[in-house]
Amino acid sequence: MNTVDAYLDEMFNGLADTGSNGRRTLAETEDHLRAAVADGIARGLPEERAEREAVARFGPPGAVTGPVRRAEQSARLVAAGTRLRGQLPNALSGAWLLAGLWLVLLGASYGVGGLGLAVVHRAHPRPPCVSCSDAGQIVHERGVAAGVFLALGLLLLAVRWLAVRQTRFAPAPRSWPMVAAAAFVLIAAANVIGWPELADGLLAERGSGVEQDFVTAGVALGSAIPLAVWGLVRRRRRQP
Amino acid sequence: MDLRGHLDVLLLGTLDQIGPAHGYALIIGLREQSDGAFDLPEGSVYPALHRLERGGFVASEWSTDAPRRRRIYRLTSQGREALSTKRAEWRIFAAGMQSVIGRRAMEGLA
Repeated sequence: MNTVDAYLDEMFNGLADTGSNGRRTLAETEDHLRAAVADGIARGLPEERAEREAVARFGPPGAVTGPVRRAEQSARLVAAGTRLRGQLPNALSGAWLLAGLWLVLLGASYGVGGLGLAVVHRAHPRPPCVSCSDAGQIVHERGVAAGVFLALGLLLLAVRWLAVRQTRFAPAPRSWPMVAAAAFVLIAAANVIGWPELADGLLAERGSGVEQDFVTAGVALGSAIPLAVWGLVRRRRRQP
Repeated sequence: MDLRGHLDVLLLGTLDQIGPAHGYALIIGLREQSDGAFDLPEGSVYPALHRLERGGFVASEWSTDAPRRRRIYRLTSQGREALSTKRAEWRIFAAGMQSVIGRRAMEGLA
């Protein structure tokens, strides 16, 4: 193998995974070296010496491949950033929707929990748990929590709906029902395996009872199933 | 001579002088115009040309006139403007250097 071909092989290895920029650089390098060798031969140099001189003047392959690799990496970073910037409004929109749904879910679960406690208390009037003595107060607190969470959730959803409709705010990503279903399954799991303080807030400390966590988990799971089905149907519709 | 930081403007200037050219012709032109003072590693010219093209200062296309495919570079209007700005800056810089260093050098000679 002659000097120029060996040099081009080394450069080819250094330009691996640099795409069209790498191919272009390699083509330009080959053209440059062949022209330089032809000039050397025209000046009366033997071919082997003309090749050695052309390669020496061109410089080490790393001096060319390094900048090409760095340029390719920055181009990829810029492209990834552009993609991310394009998807960010949709992700924000989806997160907004999810937050509204979560609050509605919490409100619904406190409503169900409070209603259940009221029915049980009416049928069997006794303290609902060891540390709680006033079931009526707990029912009242759950009712208040249900109202607050439902109102906040519905407000969030309504404002988002208006924003999407009036200001053309980005719609949620198409995959959001599946993401919401997964989030609700996680919420259900967290409530069952011990996340009562975070999930229930102050109400857990004030004696809303462990059964409220199971009610929340049940409502979350019950919401996750239709969301997942909806997501699957949307995905199937998209496929040709 | 260390050309770091000056290569881009030298390439723009050479392209302006010799007109559209491929990389090898640009290097020969740069060497001849500088009377051999700017004898840089030739491979370093290509990343610089690609960088200038990404910045919109030069444009290029493959030429099929030669036996081998060659990438021909030419100045864009943005490149011409940048070169004009750099020339103005250089004149101010060179005049300042001349008044400080050049005068002392002349005094040393006298």
